Amino acid sequence: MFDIENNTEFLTAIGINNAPEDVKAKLIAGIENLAEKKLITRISDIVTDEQAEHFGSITDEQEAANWLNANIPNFQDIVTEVLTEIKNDILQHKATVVG
Amino acid sequence: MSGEAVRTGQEQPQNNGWDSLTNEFAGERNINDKTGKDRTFSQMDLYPRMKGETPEEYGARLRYMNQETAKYLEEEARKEQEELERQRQLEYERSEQGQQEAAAESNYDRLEAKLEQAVSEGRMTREHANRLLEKQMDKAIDAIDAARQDYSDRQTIGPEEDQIKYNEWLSKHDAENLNNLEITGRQDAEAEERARLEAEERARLEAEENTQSQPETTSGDKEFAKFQVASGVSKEAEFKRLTGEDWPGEKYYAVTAGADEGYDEPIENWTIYERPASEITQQPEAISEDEVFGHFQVASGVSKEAEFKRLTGEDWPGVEYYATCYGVDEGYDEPIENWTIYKRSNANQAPNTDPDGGDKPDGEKDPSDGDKPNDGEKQPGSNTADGEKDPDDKTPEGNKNKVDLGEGDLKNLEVTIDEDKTERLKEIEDKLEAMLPELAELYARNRRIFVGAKNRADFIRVKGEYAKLLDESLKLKAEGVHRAGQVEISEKIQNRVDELNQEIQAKLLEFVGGDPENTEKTQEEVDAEKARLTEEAEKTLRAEYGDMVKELEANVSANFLSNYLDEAVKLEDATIDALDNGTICRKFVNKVINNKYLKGALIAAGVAGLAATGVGLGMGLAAGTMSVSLGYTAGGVALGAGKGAMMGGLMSRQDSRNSTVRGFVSEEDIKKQLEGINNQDADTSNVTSWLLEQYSGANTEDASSNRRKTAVAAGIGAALGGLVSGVHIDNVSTREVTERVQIGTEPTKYEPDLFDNVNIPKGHGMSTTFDQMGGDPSNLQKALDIAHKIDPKYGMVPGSNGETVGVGGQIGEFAHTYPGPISEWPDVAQSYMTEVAEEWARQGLIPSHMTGGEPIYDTVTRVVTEYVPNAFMNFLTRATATVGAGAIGGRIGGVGERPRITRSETEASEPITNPEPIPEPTPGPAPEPILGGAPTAGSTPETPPSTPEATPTNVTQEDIDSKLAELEEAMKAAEASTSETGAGSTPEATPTNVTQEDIDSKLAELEEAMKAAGVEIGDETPERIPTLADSIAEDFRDRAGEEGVAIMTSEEYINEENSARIARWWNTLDEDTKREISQFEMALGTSGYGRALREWIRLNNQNSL
Repeated sequence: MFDIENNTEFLTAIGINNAPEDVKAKLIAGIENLAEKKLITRISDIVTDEQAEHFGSITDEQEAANWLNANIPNFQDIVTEVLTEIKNDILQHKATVVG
Repeated sequence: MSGEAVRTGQEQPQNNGWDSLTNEFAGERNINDKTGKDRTFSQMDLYPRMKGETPEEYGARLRYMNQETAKYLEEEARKEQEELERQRQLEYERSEQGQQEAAAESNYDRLEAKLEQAVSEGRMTREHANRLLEKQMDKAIDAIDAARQDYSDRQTIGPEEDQIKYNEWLSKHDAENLNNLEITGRQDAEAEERARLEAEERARLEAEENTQSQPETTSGDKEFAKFQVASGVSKEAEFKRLTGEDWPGEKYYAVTAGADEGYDEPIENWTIYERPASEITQQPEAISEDEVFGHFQVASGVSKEAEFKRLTGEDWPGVEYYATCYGVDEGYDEPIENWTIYKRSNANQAPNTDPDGGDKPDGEKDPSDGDKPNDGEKQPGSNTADGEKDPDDKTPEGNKNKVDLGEGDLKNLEVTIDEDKTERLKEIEDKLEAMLPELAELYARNRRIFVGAKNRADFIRVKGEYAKLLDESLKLKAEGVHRAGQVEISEKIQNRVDELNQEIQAKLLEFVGGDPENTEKTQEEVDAEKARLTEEAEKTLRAEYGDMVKELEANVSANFLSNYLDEAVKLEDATIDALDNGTICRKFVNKVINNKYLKGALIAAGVAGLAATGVGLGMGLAAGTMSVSLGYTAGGVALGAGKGAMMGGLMSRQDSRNSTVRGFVSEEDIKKQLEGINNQDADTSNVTSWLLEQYSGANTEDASSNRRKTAVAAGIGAALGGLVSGVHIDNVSTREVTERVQIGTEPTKYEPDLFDNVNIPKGHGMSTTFDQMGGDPSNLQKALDIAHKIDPKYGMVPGSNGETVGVGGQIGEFAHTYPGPISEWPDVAQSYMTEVAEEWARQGLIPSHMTGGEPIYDTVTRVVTEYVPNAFMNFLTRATATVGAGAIGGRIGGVGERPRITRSETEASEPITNPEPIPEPTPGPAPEPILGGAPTAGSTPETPPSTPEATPTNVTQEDIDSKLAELEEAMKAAEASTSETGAGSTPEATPTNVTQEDIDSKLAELEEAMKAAGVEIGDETPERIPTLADSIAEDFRDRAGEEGVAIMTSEEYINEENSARIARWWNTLDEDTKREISQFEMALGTSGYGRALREWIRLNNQNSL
């Protein structure tokens, strides 16, 4: 899916690539949390009742990932959009706040 | 369902009072229901005759209803008007003009106070003060009148005229303010407000100009890059990221390439071009061969002198360094000046670069200066011409001077903490918090396809306000307000400043020979030396400060991001909450939030916390043994009523294998009741009565009376829990259910790390949480801490079964942990439960008189004994209330049978340190597949083979299977009957005389309730193209939630609270929607939109939803 920890470009863009590891880890976790919530609401607009039901019964991470890729149109694009949205939002606020 | 169908179904007798009744209540009107059909309705269609009702009774009832309706409508209209006026007043107060009015009043009050003070201190006469006040009052009134007039005008004119008029008003107001200066001085609030408005207007105009006058691409310019930005994303930031230049750029420039409108928010396309080198603005060349030292930018409010000094250590205009401005960026709210600092190639010999001319740099000593000999005479204390001490000087004073070393002059370079800013931040954060629900709600609404213009406008407005405040708060935080890191650094620097000042003092002391009272140095020399030392120390500090600045900047970035993420997640959470209305989104969110596998799939890196929250849906079913056996019965009841409820019976059966105590109900009793249910004349209320009878005889005198009482509650609660479980169990997979049963039977070990930092969303997983804690009293506080993370508002929303059941589970677990009287429960538990009860009352789940602070145990008992039977009868129209009540009873009942709480009251007050072990379950038959989840041949059963199961003591598995099969047949028969007669075509049933028609009607209503709860009923519903009515209905559901639908489609819930609710909802609609609904209102001959809406929703529910 999207591995923020190793996404150097993304981390550099938001200015934390060179932060201390512990700080970086905490911030990455925060970004993932945010991305997750955004992604959930995005996908929830797409899935049907039946799909939600089926997805809820999956108990394997890889299977779930496969399902998402197979059943959510342009899933990877959605993920990218979510990350881009977060990145842009961070950059916008950062530019305003810290220059 | 049509009106004709209704009347036909009643088969009204003729010539027996009916004719006159028909004439009296005919009032037939044609209604176009948007499906292309004209239909005819009368009062008698809307309120069908009840079975056995005479014409007189029916007529009396209709007249009574008309009378009540008229009263209701009158009251409704009055409230509507009040609400409208209140809303208008509120809107005005929030408007710019309203704020102007408030400012005018505030100014007057302040002036009055000031004048009063002046009079009391004798600085002004009373007459004079009164004259001033009178004058000011006139001005305030004028300002208020102008504001109101302006506001009124703005409500009726178009945006452009509006803006012109506003500008005129602003100019006029400015002039007035100038005239007022000598009297009142400028009032801060007014000035700030005006400045803010002007800045906003300027920014808007600049933005427009910026958009309209994009630089045209020069032929030959090379395309450099493309980028896209959407609402809320800054093109300036993206431009800077790609080019490294500030907007609008120098080497590069961007040109818009149109916007994509096919998304929720338009996406702007931009292309960046690179200018030829010849066209790039030339920076001023450095003087001679001076080296570029660095660049800086300054905007309004920032001093170039200060920035210059910060970077070079020199005072403006500098000696070794100098700066030149090479342009101003106009693309921002405030122009930004760009400066380059040069280092002189030969600073020591550099000519004076101060444009104004002047002296040579300070610090250089003019060789011509010096002490001149005093006509050759030795003066006491004087030096020789060369400044050295005269060895021959023998005057009493010698050459000794008394000098003042003073305090250290070195100052902290860091910012100081500003109390005003701290206050401002607090104010902003409060506002942000207050705005969050509104923004989230609007955000959620704007996600829908059907988005009204008002919604859209509100969303943009609130979002803009929110973003602005958020930026300001983040900025303040970045400046160090309320941020420990910044304070720490500031203190660190201050400590270093103190040290350096001490060093300066020590060196000065050395300089004066150790005794300032008796030194050869003059004060001037001391001062010069001190200045030199201070300058040196400052350089030292600055060098060290450089590292600190880096640290500071790192902290600023990290803290900014951290603060930003906190706020962003808050908004997302609030949005998810706002979407919490039983839609697909809700289900999906539930599933993902609570399933670590799915979360893992979404986020590869994983976020462990939320995965641990567990699943709250249907936890009432994991209640335990008593609820199990009764739930089985209830499951049967439910099965007779609808397909979805069958799940409840199956679940109960699943649980029943874990039953260890079944002493209250015999197998024969259950069979008897089930047989009764198979007879479709059975009245479900009889089952409730029967259950009550069975348990009312429980011995309430013995030591375990509380348990017996609980068992009574369980009898009812479990029945209801089992009944309604069918509504929500569809949301839970077989595996999940099985796991819950296992969890309920064999609590897993509490893992502190799993919950310590978990931000549990809403009511999910509480039962699981408590169960996983093993019911250990020592974990109660921990459990409560977690519980309190849940906003009760969300934890108890009755429209979503999972939460409600989860709350029921919480109470059950408390009872589990503290089986004694409530008075022996910890205060915090009592307090929490009281809060729960109050929230229930607020939600309409229990009568308000049950929240009088009585012990929660009693409250719960009363709920299930006094209220639940009634709720049971109303189940089909009020399923959610039943869910909660059933869950309560189920949980407590289940808990009541757990061996560990079999203690006397005297023992109950003692802490449970070593609970009795749970009996080893006896292996039983393999678990049955849950309906809808039957394993296919060759597939792996969802229930793990290792699941321990207990053998039921009274009812065999075969009995259960057999009865369930019979009940399923009965249900099918009922369904078949329904399809023949048409759902909803029968008159309302009376509670005590249930007929086939009643059952059909209830079935139809149950299906509606199941639909409302998001349960799939079957495949027979043909796919249809959504209509506008669908969109409106969806919009309605979106706003009102399932509970709102239930309320407004039920006659008995016409009350003040719900009316107000309808009014609030109505006020959120755009005009088109209002018109749409009003058509039905008019057609039905009523004047209150509430009733019309209700009918409209009823029609739409039947026709399209």
